Amino acid sequence: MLLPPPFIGFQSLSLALLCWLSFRLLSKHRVTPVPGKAIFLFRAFFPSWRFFDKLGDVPLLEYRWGSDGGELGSWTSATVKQPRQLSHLIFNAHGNLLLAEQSLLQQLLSDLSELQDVETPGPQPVSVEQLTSFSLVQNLVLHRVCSASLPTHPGASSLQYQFRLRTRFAGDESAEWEDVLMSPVESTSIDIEDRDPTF
Amino acid sequence: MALNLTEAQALLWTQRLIALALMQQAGEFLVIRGDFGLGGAWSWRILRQDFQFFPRPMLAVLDTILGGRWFIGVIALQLILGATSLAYPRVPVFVGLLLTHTLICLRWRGTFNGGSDFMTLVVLTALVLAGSFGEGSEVVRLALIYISLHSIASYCIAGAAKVSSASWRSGQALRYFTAYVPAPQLARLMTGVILLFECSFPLAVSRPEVCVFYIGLGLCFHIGNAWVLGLNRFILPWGATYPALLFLSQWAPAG
Repeated sequence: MLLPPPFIGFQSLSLALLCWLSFRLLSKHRVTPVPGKAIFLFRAFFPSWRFFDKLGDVPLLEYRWGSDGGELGSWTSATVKQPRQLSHLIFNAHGNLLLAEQSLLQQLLSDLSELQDVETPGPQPVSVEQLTSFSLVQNLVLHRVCSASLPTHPGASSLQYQFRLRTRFAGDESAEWEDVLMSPVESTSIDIEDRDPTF
Repeated sequence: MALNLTEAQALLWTQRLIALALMQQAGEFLVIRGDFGLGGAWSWRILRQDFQFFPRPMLAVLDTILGGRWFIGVIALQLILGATSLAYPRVPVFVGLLLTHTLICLRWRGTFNGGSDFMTLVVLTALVLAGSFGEGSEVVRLALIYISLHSIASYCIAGAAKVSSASWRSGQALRYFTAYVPAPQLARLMTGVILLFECSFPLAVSRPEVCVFYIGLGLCFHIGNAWVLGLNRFILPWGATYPALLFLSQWAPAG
């Protein structure tokens, strides 16, 4: 029985797609990162369908804080995991925010790596502090510190804090965490209104 | 299996499902609005560093729309337009949704949730094009093909990338990503099933009954990912591609 032309056409297209995928897999050509800030911001228009394709370094953001002039407390993970609920299958606002924060940490790792890579073309920021990803992470830590200090230091107008970014290979839980970034101890003045940021 | 999904029906269901996806996304953003608000961790004051290459007038517009309370208005508009499109799936509504979704992606430095944002944009772009040329136009069929190709590519490329990874082939990656598969042999078996599903996805458009089977597997796959990895936002955008796949699987020659 002869197959209708559109059916054959689409099967041919599928076969062509399969051949192209095979070529990409077998090819030694390295996937080139998309350059430019503009393309970075509009990258949603250039979909990448490589999801969870391999195990790599997992970032961990930790912070510690104390009252100004006092001692810093112990290191605390900045990731606030929440227990799974069935409703999260439909609505998972805080879970998705957590995923966005993890993506931010991955982006910071990538930016730090580019800073160390002298062969990366294009203008580069002079220091880590000039990276947008670093500033966002620092701000994230500041908000964690604000929230953490509220129960014990509700009236504090000044705190000191420090944070570090660590990595470990995802597939090896026995491996030690490696410090990639350690911030200096910073002092910050806290506006009472900033303790409870709302729109 | 006799299916009779018309082009118009496929388009309508795609529109409904992506509208639900956009409403879900907007709802979630409203819950976490404090985190990107005026005093939030994701401060526009910091993010605008990335936008300095924009011309000054455009940057001023972005400062207004993305930096202040207007951004809540953008999210609320997405929620309203999404609801509106369920009853009135017109081109201006989808143009509005494309705009709000793009602005929201920009506000989150390109994308908030990665894959779900990519597929949402793919579907929205296709719907705007299809709607612009009207029902019955060849562009509608091309839009459905475009959506189908991206849907197939998303599974295939993800599967192919995993196949090339030793950690996936050994089952180690699956055991890392989920705590529910402790036995190495079971992990390898489940990995094999996942890779087979993803890499064979082009078969979904071979016949309608095969397509229904793959859609069923796809839904299970995405619900599983939502439970294990928290990727609930992937269910509806990928679900929005399924009517196009189903339509294509039953495509008969003209005349």
